[in-house]
Formats: sequence, structure tokens, C-alpha cells
Amino acid sequence: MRQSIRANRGDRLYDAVNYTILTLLLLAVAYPLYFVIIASFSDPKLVASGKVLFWPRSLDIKGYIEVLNYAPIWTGYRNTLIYTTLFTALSVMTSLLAGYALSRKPFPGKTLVTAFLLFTMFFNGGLIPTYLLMKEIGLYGNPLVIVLLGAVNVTNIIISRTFIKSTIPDELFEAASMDGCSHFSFFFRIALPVSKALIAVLVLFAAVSQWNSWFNAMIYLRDQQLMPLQMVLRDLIVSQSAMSMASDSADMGGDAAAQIYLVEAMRYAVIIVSTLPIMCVYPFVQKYFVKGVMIGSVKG
Amino acid sequence: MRNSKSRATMIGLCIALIIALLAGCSSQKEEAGGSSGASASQETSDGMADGGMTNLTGYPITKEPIKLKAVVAYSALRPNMDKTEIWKYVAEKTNIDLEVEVLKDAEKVDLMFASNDFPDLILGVAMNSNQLTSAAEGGQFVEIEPLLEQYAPTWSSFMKENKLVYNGSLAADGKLYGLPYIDFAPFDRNLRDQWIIMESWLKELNLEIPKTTEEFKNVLQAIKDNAGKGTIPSDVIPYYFQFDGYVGGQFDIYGSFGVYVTSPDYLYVDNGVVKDQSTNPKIKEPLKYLRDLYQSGLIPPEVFTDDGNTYVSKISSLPPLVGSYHSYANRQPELGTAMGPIDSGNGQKPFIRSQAYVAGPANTAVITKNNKYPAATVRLLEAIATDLELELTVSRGVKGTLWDYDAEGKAYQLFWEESPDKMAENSAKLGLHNSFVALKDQSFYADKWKELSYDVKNTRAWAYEHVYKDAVLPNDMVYVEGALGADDVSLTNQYRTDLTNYRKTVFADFITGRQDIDAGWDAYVKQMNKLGLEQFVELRQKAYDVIAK
Amino acid sequence: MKLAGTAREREALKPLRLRMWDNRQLYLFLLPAIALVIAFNYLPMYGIMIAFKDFKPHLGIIDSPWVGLKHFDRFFSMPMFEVVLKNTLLISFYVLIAGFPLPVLLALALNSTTNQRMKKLVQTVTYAPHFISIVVVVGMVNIFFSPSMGIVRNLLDMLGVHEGNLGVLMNASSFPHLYVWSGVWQGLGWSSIIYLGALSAVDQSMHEAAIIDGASKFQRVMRIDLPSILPTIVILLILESGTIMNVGFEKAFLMQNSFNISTSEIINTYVYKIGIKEGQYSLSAAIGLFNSGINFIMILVVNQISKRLGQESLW
Repeated sequence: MRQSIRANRGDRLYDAVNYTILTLLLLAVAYPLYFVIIASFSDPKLVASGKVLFWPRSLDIKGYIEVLNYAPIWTGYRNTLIYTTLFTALSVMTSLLAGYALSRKPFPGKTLVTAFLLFTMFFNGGLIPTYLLMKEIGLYGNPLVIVLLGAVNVTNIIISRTFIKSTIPDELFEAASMDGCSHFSFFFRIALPVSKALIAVLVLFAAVSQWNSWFNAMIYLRDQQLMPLQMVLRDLIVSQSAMSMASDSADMGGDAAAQIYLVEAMRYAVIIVSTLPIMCVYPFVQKYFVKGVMIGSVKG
Repeated sequence: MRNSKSRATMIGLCIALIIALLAGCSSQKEEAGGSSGASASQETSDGMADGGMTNLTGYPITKEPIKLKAVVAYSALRPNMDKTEIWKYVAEKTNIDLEVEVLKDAEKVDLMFASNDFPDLILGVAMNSNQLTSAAEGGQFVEIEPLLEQYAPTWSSFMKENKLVYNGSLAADGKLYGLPYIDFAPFDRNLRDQWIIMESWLKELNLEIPKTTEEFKNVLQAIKDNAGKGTIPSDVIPYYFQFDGYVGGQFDIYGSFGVYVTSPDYLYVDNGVVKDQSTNPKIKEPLKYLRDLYQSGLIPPEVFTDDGNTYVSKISSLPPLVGSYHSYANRQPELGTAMGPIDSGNGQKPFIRSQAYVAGPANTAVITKNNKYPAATVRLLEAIATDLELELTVSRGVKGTLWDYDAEGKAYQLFWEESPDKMAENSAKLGLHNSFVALKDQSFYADKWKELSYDVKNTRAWAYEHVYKDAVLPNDMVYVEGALGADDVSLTNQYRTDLTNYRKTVFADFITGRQDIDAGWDAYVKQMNKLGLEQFVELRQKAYDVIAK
Repeated sequence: MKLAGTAREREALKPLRLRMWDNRQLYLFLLPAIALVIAFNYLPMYGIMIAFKDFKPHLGIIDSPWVGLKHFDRFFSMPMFEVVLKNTLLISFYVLIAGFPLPVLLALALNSTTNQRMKKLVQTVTYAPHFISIVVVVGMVNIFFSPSMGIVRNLLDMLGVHEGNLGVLMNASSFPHLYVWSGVWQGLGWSSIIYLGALSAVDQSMHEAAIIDGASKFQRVMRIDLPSILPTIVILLILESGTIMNVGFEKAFLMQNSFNISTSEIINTYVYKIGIKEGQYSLSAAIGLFNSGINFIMILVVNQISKRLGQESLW
């Protein structure tokens, strides 16, 4: 009894402080987000001159209309959904398999493979040889290239390895293998179900990175029908890239500013349109972050 | 134990790398092998053109329909350059079907050059001199001059007569590989930015359009004092510009004080000699004037911190937010009007900047060695230069939507870039404008085109005619540049970056008053020289000589 | 215990072939990753040579002439080299020091909060900024901190704290702060996700045991939660340090203005401005290789330190 009372007071203080800090954080982070939302409904000129503060000014949904009327957006959504699903499946599977393998006790070639994979995190041949390779093996223009390129993410493999290593000790496998359990069944029957949080994180990382990506599509795909969402949106908002802003419009001999005018209205609407779907994924993933019932089966 | 393990690892990695190298070798050999093959058939022999496919005169250009693959770099105002209706027109008339691929990004253009993967025809891709020269060196492009002499007399004589255009299009090996986009409208070329002032506010305040620096300051002060009254908003920005931007920047203030600057690098040309203005002590006067305006609160600090989009938003604001700004086009034609450069009273004639009669841009049609019908291609380019309807369709867009003929047989514009909404609506019918070739030289504007906007108040043409004609810098003072070799370009860019970075910081400090102009001047000049100003100007002179000889 | 040790030694003495056969399933597990990496990373690896050659497209990578370290020399002897290197490193370390601990703290705080609504709300709000593009983020920074008409300036003016124009955007010294903290704003929630994931695998029975022993919540968080996710933290720290030279080009470039060039010119923006894009493949490859080299060295160092301290390591 005495202990629970003591624990209560100290805990209550902790909770109160925690709550306050989180609230302050919430407010600090939320305002700019709120700004993006109200800016997407406002006249872009007022936004730029700092007139939009707490509510939309000069209600203007023109940005949304332009964006949503742009037919290729729907193909873009469809393509991105397909690419994201396939990519996530491939990426998560390879990360889990490789992470699991590397988390086991040393076996011949383990260090070699680790070094082999890590090396690619720093040194790569660059865009030119990769491009040439794609052309050669016939992946240029093929939507498969979006799914395959980048599916192996060494950082994710390392994260998987760390997670699995610290949650599934070797002794457990030793015990299971003595009962005739192979790595395969151990992996699928025990390791995976217990690593729900890890899988959730990997899925989230893979899905979001694919959802936001456009570079590979831009370089390796030609057919407009295959373009993912972000590529389509980039077409709408040419000034999204720093490069285009850098171009000296004096060379263009004309009214470059007219381009910018066309695009301003859509800038904030595009953010909402392109990120709302993927942001909705997180709550689904969140529920896997429940405090797991862990492997209390191996103590000491 | 550990040692042998790490040794094994090292050996394993080395093996992996060697495999990779070998893989690279074989793929490269194929690349190299493949590229040198096909050049034989392209040489047009005397007699039949393109192996008999191309007619030497008249339409259609080829006996049978042919397909040519082309690439063009993306442009936001003309997003559908691959699917536009004009290609149908071209195919019907000439039998040449241009299949255009739009390259969405500079990376892709870069890759095209790096991998030697060219189509038949390269349209406007903002090719830089390094790319052009290295592709030429590699034999990827077809020298176009001999073809011009045979099949394109109009272009041939134009290039001979317009040295600036010709020299500005050459690769570093001195040969011509492409044709340019030419638009020599006097109201376009003879003026850089208009200087816009909000006439409606002046009328409200009973003020005249300022003609001297004193008057300009007073007008700005009056606008500021009357913020919130009438149509002047309470958060009005009296004078606004994009600091140190050649477009939209403060350069015409310099010109008002007799310090003429005709390039973003603060250069100008004096009788063929390239001179620097950034360290000319005479520039202290306009800088002091700007400092004065800044400290009176007539220039907001945002001129230094706003990015391009914000800048455009503010000057395009309707109702207007800015009292005076510099811009290619008048953003509020009903309310603002063009004003001439102001007189500083220091005895120097105020001039406003002009542009040169150069290609805009050059090399918007380059024939590659993969092209099986170079003669047909050149004939097409010639047809664009001579056939008015074809030229305007390819350049502006479908007849009847973008332009039409008037009663006297001259062509006139129905709408263009000043109406971005109409552009977006009709994006399927737009022409390629400056992403392809056109020959709109002085004779075009004299005989074939009726520019209606001269009569419409506050258009650029009207402003040129009524305000700027006699106040623009002579074209030969405008700095222009030709192509240099890769090493020179590299050095030039390095000097330019270092000098620009430093100069921008110092001038910003001068104008905001953080550094005193007189006190800090000598140290500034010294540092500029240390950063390589002299060598930079020499290189710029070299580039100028290439184009102007 | 002793038995297990000997078992390991016995294991290691088995002939190589046998050991490999025993672990054949693991090799199968590794196969997809290895195959993809060979195909997409190692086959194009010969491109590294571009940095040591004068790459001419028409000759191809293999046949372009060797120039050894010429491009590296050129890069190191550029007058601005030291300044841009210093700026890059300053910002990277600042990002690491400021940006690394905060997501961990956030994850610990969220995980230990009892109010589920608050937890979900804070999670969703803090991870949303990750999706906003850099261009918009920088645009907002410029709008909020605008010297004469920004909301921050108006707020400070109203509160009587600061009069006149806000000098934040006009000072070179404020660039690193703006860069780093806007980055923290953007990445805080997103980076905390992985720690939340790791925290969810913490053994609840340990917490229960601790409560019975009379530990306060704070103690439980510090003594159970934190150590449990220490391996994850360390590994991520090591991985982060391997990105030291990857200071974002786009963000710095967009945030540059006439006043902050002395602190905002990083390697990548400088290299971009001197026209590296103009077909100077070799020079830009050399600079890229230099960046990778520094990254690699950093990771080696941090990994070694971590090993010495008895913690997780990459290998």
C-alpha cells in the first residue's frame, strides 16, 4: 500500500509534466500544418504576402479544382497504388529475410555478406552506368524498374537485424531446432508473428518512400500512362524544384513570370492532395505498436 | 580467427568488385561498338536527297510519309508539346510526322548526352556549350551549314548576315550544328524590363509620373504616407524588386545614374571592350540612393529575402500591393503604367536596359547522326522560315485559335502568354514557341505580322513605342557571349560564383546601411580583385570575342 | 554456461562445408537481397571510375582517359573549398546533435503516456510535416520570418519584445539555426516512429516487476524502456553518422539569400553553382566520391567507438 501511494504521487507529476510537454509540442508543430491547410484554400497572393494567418483569406478553391480536374492525376494515383503495394511487399520481405539471417549466430560468410551490403550504402556507380544497365537489360521503360530499383534498402536490413537480434535470442532457436524446427518454420511461425512492430515500421517506411518518389520514374519511364502520382504533380508544379527556380529567366527571352503565376494557386492544394492518402495509412499501422506479449520464455 | 575472417571478407569484396568491373567492360564495349556503326548512310550525296525519299522543292517534303523522333525539354506554359495538334498539320502538309518525347527534367537531358542516346532531331533542350561541344566531338551531330546551303537558302543568308546569331550558335569547334529560334520584335529585343509605376495611385494623390530621382523618391514617400487611403493598401510596398536579379532587379536604377550594366555579372561593352561595373566607383551613387530609399522605409527588407515565387506573387497582386517595380510585362495594365528611367541630375544620360539581337535560344533544332532524312529535316526547317502559315502554326499554334489573318493578309495574335488562363485552356493547340525554330526577323515584323498591341495602352509594345524608344541603351553595349572550351567554362563559373556571392553580400550590406559605402569601398574592391575579377573579365572578353568578331 | 561455450567452439571446429550445409536455409534467406544488390548496385559499380577519368560520352566510361586524382586536386584547391567544407560539417553535426536525441525523447514520452487520445493526436500531428515538400517548408520559413511583415515579427512586436524589423533572415549566423530547427520540425515525429516500434517490444513483465518493487514511472522509463531500445538507438546513430555529408542541396539552396551566403554555401550548392551540371561528369563524380569517402570514414569511426563501449555495432 505504502509503495503504491508513493508511486502515485511521483507518477502523477511525471504524467502531468509529460502531458504539458506533449501539448506544447503539439501546438508548436501544428501551427505550420494548419497554415498549409488554410493556405490551400486561400488566394496565393495573399499567402505570399503574409496575410494569411489564422483562417483562409479570400476563399479560393481554384487550386483544388485545377488539381483534381487534371485527368492524369487519377492514373497517377492508380499507378502509385500498384507500385507502392508491390514495392512494399518486395522490400519488406527482403529486409525481413536478410535481417533475420544476419541476426543469427555467426555462420560462414556472414561478415562477408554484411560488408558486401554495407559497401553499397556509400559507394555506387552513379546514374550514368545504372541508366546504361537498365537500357541493356531491357528494364528501361518497363514499370518493373520502379519496383525493383531500391527494393533492397540496407538501412532497413540493419534495422531488421537489430530488432530481431534483440527480441529473438539465439537460445530460443536452439531450443526449437532441437525439437526439429528448421529456420524456415521458425521464421514464419515464431519470428514473424512476434515482430509485428518491426513489420509495421518497415511497411510504413517502404510505402511512404515509394509514395513520395518520382526520380526513378522520371529517368526510366517514358509512357505517360505509367507515371506515378508525384511525377504527375511535378508536371503541374514546375517550380517545385529548386533547379527551375534557379534558371535565369533572362535567357528565356520572355515572360517567365507568367509560368509562376499559373502554378502558385496549386502549390498548397497539391500537398494536401498528394499526402492525405498516405497519411491515412499511419493510424492503421499504429495499432501494431501495441506493447507486445514478449518472449518471456527465455530468461537470464 | 578474426584476421582470417577479415581477410576473407576483403578477398570476397575484391572479387565482387572485379566481377562488377568485368560486367562494366563488356557492356561498355557493346555501347562503343554500337555507336560507331551507322554513320555511313547519312551523307547526302549529290543527286537524290536522302536516298531518293526527299523532294527537292515543294510540298509534300518527302515522297512518302516518314517518322522522325525528336526530344524537347519540358515547359510549364506548353505542357503538351508531344501531343499538340500542330503535328497533325505538319504531317499532312509535309509528310513528316514528328514524334516528340518531352524530357521532364534537366537530369534526363544530361543523361541523354552522357549515354549518347540521341533521337533523330533535338529540339530546344537548353543545351549548354559543354554538352554541344562534346557531342560534336563524338560525331553525334550533323554539321548543318552544308545542308543549309543546299536546301535552306533563307536560313543560310540569315545566318551569314546576323553574325551575333551565327557566332552564338557555334560549338567550340567553330562549326554550326543547329538552327535557332529568332524573334526580333523591336519591343521585345530593344527593352529588357519595363519600369512600372501605379498610375492609379498617382492620380489619387495628384502626382505626376516621376522623371528624376528626386521626384521618384517623393512619389514613393507620398505613397507610403498615404497608405490605407483610397486604393492604396495599408501595407503597401512603395518600391520593390528582386535584389540583384537581372530580371526584376535594381539594375535600371544604376542606368538612371549613368552606370550602365548589361549583364547579370555587372558587365557592359564599350566599343568592343568588355568592362566591369561592379567595382566602378561611380556605382556608389546609385547605391547611396538605394540606401537612402531603404532607410526611409521605401524599400522593404524583403527584397533581399523573398524567393522568386513570393516576388512574383507580390508584384502581380490584384488589387496592387506594390507602388513601383521592374518587370517584363505590366502586371496590372489597367492601373499601372510604364515609366522611363529617371534622371539623377549628375549629367549622365539615364538609359534603361535593352537586349541584344541574339538567338533566343540557339540550337533549337539539331540533326543527329541517327537521322536518316537530314535533307527532309532541313527542308522542313526552311519551310518554317518561309511559309507564314506553317511558321505561325508551329510557333504559336493552331490558326484561328492562337492567331489569324486580317483583312490585309497580315497575321495577328489572338492571345498569347499574357493570358495564362487561355494558354491552359487551349494547351492542346499550342505551338512550340521558343522550344523549336522560327525566323521572325525584322522583315517578318515589317511585312508579315501586324502587332496590334502597339495601340493597346500599357502593353509592352505600347510602352516601348511611347515611353522607351529613345531611352534604351544601344544594342551594341549589351554583353553577349559565345561558346568557350570546357576548361574555360569551368573556370568562368568558379570565378562568377565567388564574385557574385561576395558582391551580393557587400551590396546588401551597403544598401541596408550595415556597412558604410565610402568606408567599405576600398576593401570591397580589393577583395573582388583577390577573388579573380580581372581574370574573370578576361574570360568574359574572350567569350565576347567569339561571338562578336 | 560452460557447456554453451564449448558447444560454440565445437561448432567452429566443424569443417567449412559442413557448416555451410547446416546454414543452407540462411543462405536462401539472403539470396533475394544479394541478387538484387548485385544486379542494381554492383553491376553499375564500375561507374566509380568516372571520378578518376576525363569522361567523354562518346568514348564511354571504359575508354575515357585516366587522369588519376586531377579532379580531386581541382576540388581541394578551389578557394572556397575550406569555407564550404566547414559550412557543410557545421550543419551536419548540428543536425546530428540537435536532431538525434529529440525523436528518442518523444518516443519515450509518447510511449509512457497514459492518455491514449493525446498519444494518437500527437503522433499524427508530429509525423505529418514529413510529407510536406522542402519547397513549401522553406517558403513557410520565409513567410513566417519575413522581416517586415512576417507573423513572428508581428507577434514579437505585439508582445513588446522586439521592435522594428526582424533580423532573423538577414543574419548569416541564423542560417544554421533555421536550417536545423525547421528540419527538426519536419522530421521529429517521423524519426520517432522506429523508436516507438522498438518500445512496443519491451517486455511488459519487466515493468510489472518494477512496479511491484516500488519504482516510479520516471525510473521505469529510464531504467527499462531506455536500455531496451539502446541497441536500436546506437545502430541508428551509427547509420546517421554515415550521412554526415549529405546536407540537403535543395533546402540550403532555397534558403540562401544575399545575407547568409557565408554560412549557407555548402559543398553541394557551391558545386551546383559553379556549373557542375554542365556536363562535367568527372568533376561531379569526384566530389560525390569525396563525400562518400567522408561518410564512410565517419561510420567507421563511430562504429569503432560504439564497439569499444561494448554497444551494438554494424559489423
